[in-house]
Amino acid sequence: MSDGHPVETDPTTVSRRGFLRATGAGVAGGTLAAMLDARQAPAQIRGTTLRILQWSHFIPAYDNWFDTVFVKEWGDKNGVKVRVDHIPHLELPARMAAEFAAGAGHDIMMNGSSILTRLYYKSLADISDIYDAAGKKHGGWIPTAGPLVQVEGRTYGMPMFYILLPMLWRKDLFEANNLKAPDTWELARVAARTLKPKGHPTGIQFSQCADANLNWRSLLFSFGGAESDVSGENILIDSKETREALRFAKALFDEGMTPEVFSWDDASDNRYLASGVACWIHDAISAYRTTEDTNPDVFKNTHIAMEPAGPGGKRVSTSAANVYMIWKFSKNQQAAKEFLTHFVDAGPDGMVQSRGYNMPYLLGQAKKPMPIIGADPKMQILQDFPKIVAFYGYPGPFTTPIQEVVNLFVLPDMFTRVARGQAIEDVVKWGMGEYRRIFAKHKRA
Amino acid sequence: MARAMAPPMTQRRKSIRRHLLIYAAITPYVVIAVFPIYWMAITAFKQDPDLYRMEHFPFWFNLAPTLRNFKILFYQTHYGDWIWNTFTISAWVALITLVTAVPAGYALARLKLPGAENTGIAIFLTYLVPPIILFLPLSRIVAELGLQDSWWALVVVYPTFTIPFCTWLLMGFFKTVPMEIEEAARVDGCGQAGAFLRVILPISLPGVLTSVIFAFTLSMQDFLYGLAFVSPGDQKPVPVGVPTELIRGDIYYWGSLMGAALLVGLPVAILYNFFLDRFIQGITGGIGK
Repeated sequence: MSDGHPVETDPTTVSRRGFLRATGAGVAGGTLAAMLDARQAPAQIRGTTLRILQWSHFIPAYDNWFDTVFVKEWGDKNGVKVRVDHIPHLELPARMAAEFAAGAGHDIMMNGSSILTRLYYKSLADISDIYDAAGKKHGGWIPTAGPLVQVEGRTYGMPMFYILLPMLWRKDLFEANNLKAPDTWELARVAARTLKPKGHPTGIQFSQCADANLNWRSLLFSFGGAESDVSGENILIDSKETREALRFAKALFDEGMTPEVFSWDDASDNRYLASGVACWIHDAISAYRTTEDTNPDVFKNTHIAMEPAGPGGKRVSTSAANVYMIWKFSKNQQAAKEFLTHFVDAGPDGMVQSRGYNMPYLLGQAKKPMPIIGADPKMQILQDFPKIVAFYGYPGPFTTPIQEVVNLFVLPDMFTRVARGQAIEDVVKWGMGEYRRIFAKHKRA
Repeated sequence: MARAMAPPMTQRRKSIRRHLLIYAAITPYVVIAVFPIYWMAITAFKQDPDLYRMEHFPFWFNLAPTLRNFKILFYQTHYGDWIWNTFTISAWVALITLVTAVPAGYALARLKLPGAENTGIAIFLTYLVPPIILFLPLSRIVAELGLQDSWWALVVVYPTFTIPFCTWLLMGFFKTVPMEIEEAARVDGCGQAGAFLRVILPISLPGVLTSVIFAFTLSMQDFLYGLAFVSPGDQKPVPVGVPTELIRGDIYYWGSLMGAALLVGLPVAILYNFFLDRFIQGITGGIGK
């Protein structure tokens, strides 16, 4: 191996051995950081155009950074003209369907919350190589990342970040009433029961919205319940644990909520916290950030807790996944792959710019202290979430039938029916019927 | 003398009572109709903390009014572009609709074509096909035309629902024009086209105007096609741009959202008011009565 000294070469004639020695010396002499910094994409992507479609981020400054700094710098460096378009995350599936039908559109598509890998994988580029390389480079992926993007042993998407929904609770109200922090669902229920008569109920959406899909799954899974097995083929919703979770949710509603939760959307719990009414909510930190701007007094007393444990001590936090994919019809797949590699490497930057929203799937990027949340005493607890993160279908993968179950809000409907007074057995029977019908339909297809 | 004065007083009292009753009856409807606009207007000028605090009286300003929401709208989004795009798209669609639906409506209503009635019904039925079904095949057409991600895609797509509706509307309208008027024009030397252009069209103006208003407002209301076919920020129409950039996950920029809706909704409402009589006349097919 070279000693690192410059290797003299004839400037006019470079032998193959000389070239290898020279380049080898250069590589050995540079640090890994310098290599990464100097990373240049292949020359053939120069002069091409790359089009990216993604959501409108919670934090406007993040979009501004992404569009005008991050993407621009990469584009300038590699000679690629990059255009980024934004639409609301709930509308991404409709746009994806339109591009699929047209066989034309953006090169890179983001999937937010609804991960459609298994629906479109035949039309998506296989990016196993860059997925594996990113895993190797950053200490591996969290276990639940792979099933989001892998079908039949190949990888069709790059898990970029996920959004947590932790417990946001009012420490001042809890302390004034000698209540323990909501470390378990039972303690959260006791707090709601105590504080509701004092004008501070709690609220979780008993309605058809994304938060309801996520929150009730966190409760169900923490109670030991499961949606499908690891194969994704078998439904596990008909269980003792599901019944326990439903019973608990009914009690939580009766004792600690008001009927307005039946009409709530994703933003209602944000408002509930910001208004100073809620004793606790279970929501993304967007609610926490909104309160910071709109009601500083409430913000000062709002704390973030670990996912509450179920009766058996289990904690599972169902999070909103975000994944980037490349269409097979893209004429610029190479540039798209280069960009995704660069993007996933820059996970910590994304976390800084998103003020702690963008939680990384890569274990190396999830080491403490993490950017932003590691430095904020109230947010530090979020660093413990990666080991308990789950996604739809847990413990199974996010399959196409589960996707439909999510889109039809079957699970939130089960919780809502129980809260409205329907018998638990009837509800489980109804829910199983819906799951079976959907799974059977996809099996036939 | 006093007895002579009594009847007018009673008359006036009766009149006042009558008016009071009328206004009392319509007041709830007016409140229901105007309240959302009032709410939209005060929210557009409220500071964020004023929106969220429960101790605040919600129907008026508790903190000083602000223009911040409009600054966000005009300086941090493409709102100006969206308004321009919306009105340009709507104008083009109204023009295309007019050029197509007026002759189609006239032909189906007046030319005694075989199967005209059923053809008219078939045209109207296409209006009933929901966009959620149509946007997939249409996306192929838009891509083939190379119009993806340009607002021109919407100029091509929107007439698929404005033309059937306006053709149907105008058919009904042309049917109400007495045949004798057209025949008189022809006796006076007009050909088929001349009678249509010089006689039928001018007296059908309320119907034509109604079609224009419908084509314009239907184009301004669409969300799905705009979302599916146009994603660059500066190409979006208002109904797509506003939720795209002012609703971020579960964070709603209420003040700016309301400001955006107010700025577009108010001029259209005022414009409607100018043409209200003709509009009503148009949809009730009331010419020649």
